[in-house]
Amino acid sequence: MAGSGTKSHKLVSYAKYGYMFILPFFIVYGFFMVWPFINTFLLSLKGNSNNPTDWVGFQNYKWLLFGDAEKGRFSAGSVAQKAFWSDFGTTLILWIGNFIVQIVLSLLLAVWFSDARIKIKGTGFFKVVMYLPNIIMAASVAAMFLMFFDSNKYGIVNSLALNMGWFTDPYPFLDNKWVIRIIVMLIQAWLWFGNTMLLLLSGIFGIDPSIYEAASIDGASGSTTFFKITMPILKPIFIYVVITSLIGGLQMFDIPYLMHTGATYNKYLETAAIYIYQNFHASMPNYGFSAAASMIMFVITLALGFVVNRFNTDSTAPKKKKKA
Amino acid sequence: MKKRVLAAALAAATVLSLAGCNQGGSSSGASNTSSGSSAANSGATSGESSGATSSESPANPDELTDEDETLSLLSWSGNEDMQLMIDFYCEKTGFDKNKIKVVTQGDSGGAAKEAYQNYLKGTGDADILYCDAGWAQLYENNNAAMVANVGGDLVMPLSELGITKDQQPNAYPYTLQVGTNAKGEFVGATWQATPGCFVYNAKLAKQYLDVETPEDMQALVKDWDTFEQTAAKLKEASNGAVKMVCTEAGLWQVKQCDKKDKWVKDDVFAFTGEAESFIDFAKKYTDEGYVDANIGTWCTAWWNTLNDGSALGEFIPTWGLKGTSGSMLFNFAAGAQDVPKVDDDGNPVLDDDGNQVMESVVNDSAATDLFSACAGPQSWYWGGTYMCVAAKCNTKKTAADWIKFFTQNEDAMKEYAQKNGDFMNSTKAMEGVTYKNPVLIDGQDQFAILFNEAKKINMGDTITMYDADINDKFNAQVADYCKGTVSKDDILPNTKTEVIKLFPGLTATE
Repeated sequence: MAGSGTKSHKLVSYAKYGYMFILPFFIVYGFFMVWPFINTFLLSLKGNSNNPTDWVGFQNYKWLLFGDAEKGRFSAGSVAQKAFWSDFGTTLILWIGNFIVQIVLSLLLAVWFSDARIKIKGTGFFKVVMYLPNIIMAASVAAMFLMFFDSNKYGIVNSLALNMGWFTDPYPFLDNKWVIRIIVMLIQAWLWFGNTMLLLLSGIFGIDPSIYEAASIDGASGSTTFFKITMPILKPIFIYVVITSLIGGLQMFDIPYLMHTGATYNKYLETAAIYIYQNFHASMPNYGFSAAASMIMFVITLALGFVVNRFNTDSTAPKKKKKA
Repeated sequence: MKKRVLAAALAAATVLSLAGCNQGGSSSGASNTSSGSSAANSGATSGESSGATSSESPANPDELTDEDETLSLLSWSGNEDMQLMIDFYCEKTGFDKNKIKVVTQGDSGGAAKEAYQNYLKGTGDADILYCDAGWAQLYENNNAAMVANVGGDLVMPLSELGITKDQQPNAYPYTLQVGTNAKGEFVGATWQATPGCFVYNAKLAKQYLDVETPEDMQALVKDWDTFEQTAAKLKEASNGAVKMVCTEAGLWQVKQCDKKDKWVKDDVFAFTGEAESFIDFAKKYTDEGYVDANIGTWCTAWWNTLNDGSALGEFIPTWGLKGTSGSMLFNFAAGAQDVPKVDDDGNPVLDDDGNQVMESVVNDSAATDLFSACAGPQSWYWGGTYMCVAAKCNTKKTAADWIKFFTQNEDAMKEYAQKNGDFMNSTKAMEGVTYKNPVLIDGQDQFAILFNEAKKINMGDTITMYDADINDKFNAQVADYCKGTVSKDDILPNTKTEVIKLFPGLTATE
């Protein structure tokens, strides 16, 4: 008999426990993410407003992407296309503006806080204070900045300027296209720079300090160290920050939606998320447009995420050699 | 054994935590439940119609029954009328208070507009819907979108409860017009009329216009030409410091009642002549300095403008004239500030989206020597709440009694007016009813003014369910034009674009 005298080893498979552990996640994910996703897609194939139960196929997509010029500029398709793409453009503008300010500020602060040569006291305190804006509720932030920048003489900035004689008339902050957009960009940057800074800081702390020592011995200046050592090693975290900021930015809703007085949102701050929201909160909801716009935004976000992720190549890994 | 228990506990914890954080995540939002699930409810709507579907022949009131004893009234939180009406009804008729249930949906009229249909989709009891005039027509017309959402009709014609317009011979005509849907069915009855008047700062009026009494003021604002002349006089006398009207939105509230034609006919949206004349009107008032286009409504700036002497007056409807804390007039008289709303325990009050609710609080008790009221240059109305009967009403007898009590029983209405200061929908009931407003100078009786004004309002056949939204979109463009951010040629095309964006089922001509 083969193997007599030796112990026979039973192959114990613990794999089933692994599946048991991950199954709940997939059940919940399926129910709360996949099923709504499928449902949204089905909704996007249906009509809007006064014909919500009709199956219109891909008409909503056709209208949103290509418009309906032959029926004139006031046809449902032309109007929807113009509205959606202009809102998408606004979203991109608001995100890019906010991101540039945010990333520059966060990088600078992260580098300063982690630099061994500059001994900053109380970094813990600063980190807490800089992170705090992130935990204030969006509604409170919007209410606060609205009080500051109200267009009439009761706005805080306006009333201060009028009292000091800098302005003769109250400045309409909320009604100037670029002023209000820059204000929102700065608000978003202010809300998120603490978070980004902490992420980058943790990335920098992962860098071996002996590299910096070697660099300073070789006479590298601060900016050379930053661009040639810190940034390349930080690349994965940096890419992560860009992708998460992009995803959040494309869905930007709360601050742009709340920065208005009076009944309706500010027209210069209409983002894609606001477009989706307005459509399904209309008096006769346009579920078809909402759902189709959601799907389009999903595809765009996915595509942009992939594009950014392509930059996340590890340049030190050996290139795979083709077998001759 | 221990390993299995641990594994099960960890799995359960994972499920619960993931369930918690995924709830708000998906943006598909609108209908997670397929419309098929409401098929169960559509059976209920068809089973009850007593055969009088298209004809208006009223059902015999004696044949109505209450299948379910509880009368469910759908309303929104903060709607003060509910408790007043219930208390009054039970006191007068001896009806059991416990059999009346108020189902609150949403924290404002606007939220209720959306919330009611979601409630009707479910299995909860619904007998009478309280609808704000701005969107009552959406429910009265059983609009396609909401019907698809709910899986059946929203409301039924009042004739099925034996209620017709002729039973209200003394009602103010415009209320019957608002309560009638596009098919001509009478679907919404209201107990109140909501005409408006012009409230003005009496001190400033005396100082700049030599006005001693409200009658003097009325002579200066009796029609729009005189109104404009007075505005010019005021501007000169005060060197431009005091504007005639608080807000451009106030002017629109009045002027939108001027309609001679429907906004939408056969699904085609077109401008009526009055809309275009309003553009020039608003611009003229802004340029001449009779109104400040940058003051918005429902905010601290609005309350303060009348209080600190920046403007002479504002157009206020009946429900804004209450002399009680929190009303528009009270806020104007005391000036107000927006603070985060907290409940009795000091915890912040959040709305359905989890955002902090702000409320306007008055700085101190209202000044009672500041304001008087006069009729103003034309008659107009704003808002009002209409009672519609849900299609799945199963307490028809009581619902009919309730509606008749508040809209047809003129003695009861008279008493209700005297008790609660509500302006009731009957000339006979309001005859001789006075209301000493504690905030107006000398406790001026505003009913005397409104009584005649309400009779003049005539909306004709101009009401459609798209009105409220179209009015808002149009005035948003006009306000921007007045502020200088939109050119005049763009107003009409922009409005058309906005309206079609909202209602893609409509078309607009070039």
